Amino acid sequence: MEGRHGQQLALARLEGIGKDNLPFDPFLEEEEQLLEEEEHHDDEYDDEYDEDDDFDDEEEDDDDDDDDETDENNDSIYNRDGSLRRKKSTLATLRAGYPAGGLFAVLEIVGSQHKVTTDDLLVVHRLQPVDQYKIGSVHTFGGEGDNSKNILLVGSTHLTIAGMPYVPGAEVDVMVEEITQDAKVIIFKKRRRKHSQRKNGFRRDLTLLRILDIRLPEQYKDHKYVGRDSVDEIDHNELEDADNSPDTTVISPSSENTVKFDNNEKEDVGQSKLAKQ
Amino acid sequence: MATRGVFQCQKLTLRYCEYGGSSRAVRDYLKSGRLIDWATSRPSVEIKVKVQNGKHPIVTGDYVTQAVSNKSIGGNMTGKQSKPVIHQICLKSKGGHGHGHGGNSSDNNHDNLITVGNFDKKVNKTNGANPIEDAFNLLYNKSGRKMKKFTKPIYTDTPSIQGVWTPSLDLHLIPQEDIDQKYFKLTIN
Repeated sequence: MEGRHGQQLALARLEGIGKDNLPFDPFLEEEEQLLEEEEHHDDEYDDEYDEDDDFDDEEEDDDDDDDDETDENNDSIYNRDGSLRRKKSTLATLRAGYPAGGLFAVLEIVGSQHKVTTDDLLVVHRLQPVDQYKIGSVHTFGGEGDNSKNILLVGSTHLTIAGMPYVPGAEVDVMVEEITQDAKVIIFKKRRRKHSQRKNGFRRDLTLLRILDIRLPEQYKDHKYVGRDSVDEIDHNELEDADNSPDTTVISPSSENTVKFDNNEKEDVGQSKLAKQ
Repeated sequence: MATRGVFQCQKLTLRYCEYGGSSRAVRDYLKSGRLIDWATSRPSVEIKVKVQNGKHPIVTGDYVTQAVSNKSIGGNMTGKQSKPVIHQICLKSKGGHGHGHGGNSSDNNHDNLITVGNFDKKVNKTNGANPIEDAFNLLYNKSGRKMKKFTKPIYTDTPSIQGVWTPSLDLHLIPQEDIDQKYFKLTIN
């Protein structure tokens, strides 16, 4: 990443170093030694008790616990709350402002506008009718019909389409996750020394939406941009050099080929062109 | 509740009394058989009906997230024990209301049912016709998570796609020829 702007973004990348490792624990070595001693102790007992029913039962119990844990850890790409499972280092870089890639859109729903990417959780006033927006149902905003006037802006890493006022052809897929109420807010007003007070409770009706997919209009089918998955390929274990930054993989929405940019090509906006002059 | 398509509500337990007046609405509901229709339209939930005499009627919800977190209550390293989150709605009805009580008796169930807890008729579109089903829907639509205030309208892992703006980004210094900027009219049908 070249130029001053690129260097600032590279600093965001440095935020993630070391977050994957466990924090320093001075007693870790002692604990490991104790565990080793226990294992040796158990080995001695194994020689004495070769065939034991109790021993077999304990093994079965341990296996059951392991299965529950490993199923959750290995199989699902998602955390329990529905967000993508990412390494802690990647999360730290993204939070610091590193470009994540992919597409984003500005959606207008129920009177409020939000900037949205894939895998977001949107908290919105309750969508009516509730029978139509059931939990688990998938809806498309920006297509044709009732939901056509929803998308105000769509963008990728290398393109932004600002609608006037809407972007026709752009689409956003959304899944209804939960229909609840917000936590209770207590509104208490008191005028002191006037024997006047009032207390009201309020719970806002909500729909939680998960953004599944964003699509550019058809004219931009072949547009090439930096894909979302390029962030997960960053290796935070090594110290950073300018050369060590990942090759930006570019994914076109319609084609199946991935094209790689060289690091030497102009990625940074503006600065490299000024340098030429 | 459906996180990523996985329905979070696993089980609804309906507990009622055979004799008490507060359970009258629930008994009528069970007799009418509407519970079966409700259950068949939502195959991901297991419904258990239990008789508990001498108590008010109650619906309790069991969720995926709750099941896992309750497992680990005993084995916390910090020694803190988090309270299990319970999702319950009480379905009391006023047994004392008879017919001919005032001019409001339009619908039997409508007048007699009073509910305690976070229960509002406007929540679901049965229009108050069947508050018991409303209670079921309320619990079915929830996830098992603790009720915390939603501080932000969006929860993301990726706040920036093009990279966060920095003061050293000098977009105004790019010559106009290098920017590919177009205006054109896209028609909306």
